[in-house]
Amino acid sequence: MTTAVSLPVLLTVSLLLAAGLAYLLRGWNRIMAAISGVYCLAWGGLLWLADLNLPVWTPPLLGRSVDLTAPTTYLDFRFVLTPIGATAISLTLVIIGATLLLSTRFAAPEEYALTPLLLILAGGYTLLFLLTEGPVSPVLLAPIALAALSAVAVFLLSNRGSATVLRILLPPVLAIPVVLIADWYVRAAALDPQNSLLMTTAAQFMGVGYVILLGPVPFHWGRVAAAESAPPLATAAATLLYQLAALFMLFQLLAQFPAVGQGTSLALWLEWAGIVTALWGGVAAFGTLHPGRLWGYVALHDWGIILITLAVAGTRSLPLALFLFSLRAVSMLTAATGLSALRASVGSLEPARLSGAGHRLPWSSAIYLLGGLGLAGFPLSAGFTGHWAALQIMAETDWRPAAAILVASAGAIFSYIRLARILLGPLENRSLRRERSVTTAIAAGILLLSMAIALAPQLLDGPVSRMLIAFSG
Amino acid sequence: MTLGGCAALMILFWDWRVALAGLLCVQSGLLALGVTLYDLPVHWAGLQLTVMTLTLLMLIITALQVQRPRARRQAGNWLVRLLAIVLFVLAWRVLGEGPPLPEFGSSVTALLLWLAFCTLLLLGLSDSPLFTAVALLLWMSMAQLIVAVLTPAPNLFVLIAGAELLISLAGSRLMLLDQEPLHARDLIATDIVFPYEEDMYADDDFGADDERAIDAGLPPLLIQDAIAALEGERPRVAPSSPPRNGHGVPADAPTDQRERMRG
Repeated sequence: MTTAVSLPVLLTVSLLLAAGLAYLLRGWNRIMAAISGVYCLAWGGLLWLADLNLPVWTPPLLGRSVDLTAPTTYLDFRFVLTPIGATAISLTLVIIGATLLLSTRFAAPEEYALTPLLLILAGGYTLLFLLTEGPVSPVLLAPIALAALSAVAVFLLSNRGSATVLRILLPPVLAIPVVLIADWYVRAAALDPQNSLLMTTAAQFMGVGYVILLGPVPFHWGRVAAAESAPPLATAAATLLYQLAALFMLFQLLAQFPAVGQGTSLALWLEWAGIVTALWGGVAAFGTLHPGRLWGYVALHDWGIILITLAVAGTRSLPLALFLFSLRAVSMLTAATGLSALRASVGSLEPARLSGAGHRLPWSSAIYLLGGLGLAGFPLSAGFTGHWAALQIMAETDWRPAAAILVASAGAIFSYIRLARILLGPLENRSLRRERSVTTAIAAGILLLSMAIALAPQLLDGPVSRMLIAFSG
Repeated sequence: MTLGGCAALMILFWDWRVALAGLLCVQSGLLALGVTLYDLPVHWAGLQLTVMTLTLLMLIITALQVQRPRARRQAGNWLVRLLAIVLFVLAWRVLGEGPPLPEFGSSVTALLLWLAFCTLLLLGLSDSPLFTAVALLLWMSMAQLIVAVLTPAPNLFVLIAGAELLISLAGSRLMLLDQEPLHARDLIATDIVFPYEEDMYADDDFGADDERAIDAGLPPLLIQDAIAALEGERPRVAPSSPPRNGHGVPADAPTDQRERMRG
């Protein structure tokens, strides 16, 4: 009788083996990116649909049973697939799968060599989401794990002129000592439950640590630098994965230590961090013409709005934050695809070289602009409904920050209009090739998907409800 | 006091050699502090010592490979940096002590706060990968001491050590990439394409060797290479010249340029 394979082992080992294989066969990187993309999407879909009440599952090709909820313990770390973890892992694998598939068509040759590193990241984030016990609570261990994963992401984002990308490590690294001190206070509070001051101090340290971990201004710089110089699809994937993990861990923290939400000023810190981030993102976007940097700042603006939404008390906060994150993922990947195609075709993202590129690459330009405008909350783009709902909730308590953020969004939108004028201006490079029909078809599909979400945001109801059930514990 | 002074010297001198020597001093000092004051197990200290050696070796080897590890993005002059340090010391005096750190005495708390400030100043003054990596490693060595004292779990210690190695590796890679030329120059479309001088040697690569050659009354190394080539010797390999394809066009040149060359 054969024993069932534990899912954490199977999933992680298979992803890491796939990474090794992709590295060995890097000569066929486009094919490997396509196969790996399908593989990740298949795993993501299976985990999304998996019924964790059924303990054993027999996949058709494996020939052995898989124990879905079997724990695996290694060096005091315990890994189990929980419903929360399954949702987060599914989303991670879907983001990575989509990135890999898009890279086969839209990336420059050196960019689709990112397959092994993306698969390593998939394995790393999967391990983090599977972790249920460790020497300290997984939510307090998260900064160390995210620091290690961000260091791996640096290799993914490193490129000529991307020296400042190392700064994506700032939020997790700076948060490490803060949450470790919090852990000492948590253990002291468990030994002396009468002393409420210990738990309050622990909650404050955890709150500060997590505000840093979420990477608001001024800890944002690495992400913007990556958007300017690193391969766009890799940047989008690395950013979304980090932020998904940070959000997931924040929700876990609030569920595990209610004192963090109740006994501290976390909401106030998040609100101010969000306002400053959204404003700075909008203002800086207004001041730039470089399409990569513009995309980075608009993404920062959008992230600020998500942080503000997290700070809003009440039952609407969590679903709205998750809804905004879903729209963010769609908009960021849409913009990254367009930007990647422009970069691969033109050879550079300097505004002078992009002049008139929209005549030859209309679909790539369109998805770049639509994705970016979605991040700024422009009407009829994917991000509009989420931004509008967030602004309304904000304005209910105080209209002034909502108005300021609206002005910042307008600044970002103005910058996109300026860039659209450049893209549709006189053609600088007459030898620029036109888009191929396959590229056009895929870009049109992405455009249609983005428009469909803009016009019917209820399409995301199912995934957001599932995320809500999972993330709220 | 000595450790604090080492950290301050790293900022004041702003040189890669001083930064790495300072990092070595601070990390060793914190390790010694952990062993003597907080009974850090010897095998933990051994692990930390090994990781420290490896991270420093990685950074030193990379710094030696790149031609000018002293960053182009220089963080002001020494006076500005001294003023920043003085300003912080004054602010500290006025505002009083920082957050309460359990289990640590007042002198060690003060040292950790000082090191935290130095780290933030290193991060704030430059975006060079070397100094960012040094600052992050400085911060991580404080995290190691905190783990050793507050959460004595060996697995956690190992995990942080692994993260340190990855940070050092990532920093080294970015240091190497930082030295490559950013833009490929447009080339003249002829049957035989002669590279521009800038393509052979990036601006920053006209380094100390060339300056020394000029001071000694000799032509720069580029011209010496040309003479050597005429005389049948193998010229010095250009460290930063981009790889070229069969048309003499840089492999990383924009698409339109490649198209033009083939056309």
